[in-house]
Amino acid sequence: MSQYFFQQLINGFSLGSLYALVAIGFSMIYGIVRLINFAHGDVVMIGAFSTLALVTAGVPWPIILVFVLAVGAVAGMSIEMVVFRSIRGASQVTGFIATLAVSITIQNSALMLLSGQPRNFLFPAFMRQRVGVGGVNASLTDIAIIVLTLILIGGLFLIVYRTRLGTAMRATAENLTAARLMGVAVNRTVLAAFAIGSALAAVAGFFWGGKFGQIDPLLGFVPGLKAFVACVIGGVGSIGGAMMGGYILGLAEVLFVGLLPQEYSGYRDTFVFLLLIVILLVRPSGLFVRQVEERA
Amino acid sequence: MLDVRDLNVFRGSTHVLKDVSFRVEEGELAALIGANGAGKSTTLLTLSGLLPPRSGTAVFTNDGEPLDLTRASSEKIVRAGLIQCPEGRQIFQSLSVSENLAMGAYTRRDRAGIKQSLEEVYELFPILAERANLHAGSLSGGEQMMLAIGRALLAQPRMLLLDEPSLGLAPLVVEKIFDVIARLKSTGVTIFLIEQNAAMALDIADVAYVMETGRIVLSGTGSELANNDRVRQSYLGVAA
Amino acid sequence: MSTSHETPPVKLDARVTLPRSGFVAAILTVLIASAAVFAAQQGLSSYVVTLLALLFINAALAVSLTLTNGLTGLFSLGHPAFMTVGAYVAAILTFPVTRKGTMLPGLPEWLAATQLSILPALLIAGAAGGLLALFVGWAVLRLKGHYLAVATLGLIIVVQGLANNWDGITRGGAGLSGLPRLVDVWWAFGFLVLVVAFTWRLKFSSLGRSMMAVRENELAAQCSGINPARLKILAFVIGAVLAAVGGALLAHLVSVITPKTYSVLLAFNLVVMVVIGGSGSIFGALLAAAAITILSEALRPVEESVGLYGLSQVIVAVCLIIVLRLRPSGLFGSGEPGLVRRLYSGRRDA
Repeated sequence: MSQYFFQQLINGFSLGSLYALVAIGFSMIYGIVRLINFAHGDVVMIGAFSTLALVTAGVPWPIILVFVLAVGAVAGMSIEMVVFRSIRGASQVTGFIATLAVSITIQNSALMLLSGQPRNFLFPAFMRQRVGVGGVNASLTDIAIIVLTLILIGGLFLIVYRTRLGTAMRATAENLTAARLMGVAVNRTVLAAFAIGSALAAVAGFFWGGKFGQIDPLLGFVPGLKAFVACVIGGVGSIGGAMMGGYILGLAEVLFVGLLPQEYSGYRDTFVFLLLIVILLVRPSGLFVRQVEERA
Repeated sequence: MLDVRDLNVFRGSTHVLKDVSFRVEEGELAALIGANGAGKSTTLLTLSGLLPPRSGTAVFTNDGEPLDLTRASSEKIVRAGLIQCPEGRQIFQSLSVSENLAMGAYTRRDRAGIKQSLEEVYELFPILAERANLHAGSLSGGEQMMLAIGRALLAQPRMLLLDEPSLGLAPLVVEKIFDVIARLKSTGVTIFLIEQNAAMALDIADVAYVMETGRIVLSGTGSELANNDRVRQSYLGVAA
Repeated sequence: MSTSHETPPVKLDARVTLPRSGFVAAILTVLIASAAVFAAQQGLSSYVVTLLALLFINAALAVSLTLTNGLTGLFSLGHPAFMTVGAYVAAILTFPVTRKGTMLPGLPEWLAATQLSILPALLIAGAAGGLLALFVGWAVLRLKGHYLAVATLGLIIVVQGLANNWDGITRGGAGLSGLPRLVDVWWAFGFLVLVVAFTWRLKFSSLGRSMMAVRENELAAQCSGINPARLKILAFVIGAVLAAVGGALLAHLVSVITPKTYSVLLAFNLVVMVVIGGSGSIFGALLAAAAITILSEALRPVEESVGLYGLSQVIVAVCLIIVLRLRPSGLFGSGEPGLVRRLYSGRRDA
């Protein structure tokens, strides 16, 4: 039992890592423009298909990872420049509808270009082999996801809390006017937040195919929504909270499926959104009501 | 140093500034007084490039180099040395005190110079050095004001725009702040001060302007205005 | 007592037109439209007539959404959830008893033995949607702006999840097909007329004005004696009842319902209709619903011939972005165009 439990735990951390990667970017973007980026999930899809294309072309994995980061950054910056810039300062609802429209545009363009047919996608065999310690074993894919995510999040924290750009991002998120009065080029700072956040989402897409074996043009929708759930769990606008929320959501989901009888596993997403509604009601500002300092 | 002519600014469809003109010479301390909603803060936001004017000019000249404030980006204006310390302090509450000060020096790259400015600010406000690693949001109102001024100083202002530095502060703290303003002036920083506390502002101002519903209605030296009947009645609370 | 609360005398001379003229105009419009529907039914292909019915139901759904989203300012995306509930409830009720046993083994006996005609099924479907909205609304209507939007999106996924997995009652992902085709264009037309008439009356009633007050400023509304929480629930529930009935009608028009029939995409399209028409404008919603339904249908052959499925959706989304940029309050804002308002309200100040 405990072996099974640990195995589920690893599984949950791996899924949670993906959610955390998406949720952090979502939260960064929300923190700085105060609007939900509904198209954020679609960057995951873009990352997944870029990975597939590069794998098919025979590009080595480390280069693929770098490239996917870049693709995500470009996608995020394009979304910012095309849509967010023109509606900056608009109401939440206007922002929501506009980005929903972007999301639907991206999804349907992908459908047109790539067709709705799911594509098989597997990491190379060595990544799929399982390594074990004391009866608990995990696939190398899961371990790679967990470790790489931690490294990326560490790097992100360094950027946000230790660099001039990061300080400017946090300052802009808190008070746009004051940041401008300090001489911060706000457009560039906002663009940087979109670039970094979207790059992380694209990395989630990089892992997506390897973890689930299939990708399709609509795969970004549910992770996008779940990123929002994760942010709500951790407190919207907080990077640390989004990360925690992502891990909690991944673990909760896996444990829900793993510990309940088989016939309930189809209710996985139902469970997640019931959880969202419950949390929104009980702790609308997130489970970890932190100081504003976590905002960025 | 600053030459503003016939500035007209709209916020939405409201005509806020109407043909506003004034001048501030280098090394001078100029004050702009007026009631709530007269358009004082709008004037400053326009000067810092945050509000585009409908018409008129505003030229800031530093070291003989003119900069058209109605066209320049706020970033460029800060780089030119025209620094605003905004109304209500607007420090970054979630950042630490030292990070706030670092934001003040955002446009500067000279590490040694920044370090020196930082030391000067810490000398001016020792309390900020003590609290360097605390969140700015945990400071008292007076300390936050000091931080706001310190942050502006780190930008190495040639001219400082101060928006209501006395707002909501205890009288003792206000005195301290005005002391600092006078000291800054003596170091050669040009200052444009906006105040509702007209008495204190006129007391230290070389020249002053009175703004009413978006127009400059009076101007003169600080003491001239302090003795003007209209100013005395409306802003200094002296019965006619 | 102080005199400051006295309201200034109302000018009555603006209402010189006969008070009943609006009613007459409305009846005339319905009669003319009926004649047009009749003519279409006689003269046009059954495909076009079905399309017309689809258009009517879409328009009715868009108008019902103006009630929650436009008038009351609740940004709900939950319409498809209520439509799905309504469609399944009605479908289970109208399904022939003979086929229920094999297809839906999980039904309780009394349900398995019941077969209703469409009207009672629609009413029960509406009631089911309303009940769900009452329950959910109590929970989520405390949320604002995009929190509410995401919570209601979540509701769609919850409902779809249930429909997908509750095999014995819903037949899972396969859905219920071969529903009796109990709805024709007249049902759709009647539904549209009812929804429009109801929403119109509501909008220009004191209740409607209270709803708009809640939208503009909740605190101020509260200060003038309005109970925002109750009004919001009311608007949400009414919208849900209409959505559930609309969902049931659609299912019995195309004789199939699956968990994915009414998806987030539909929520988006309905919201687009409301936003393009102008949040709260009934006439705008009608016009936008017609335009978008016809546009997507007209583009379908293009999509099929070029193999670019999704093209119409992209066009709709891009149109929306353009409208949001150029005319953020939609074509008609939250009002009705002057001519329409004068014609049907019989007065100018409505």
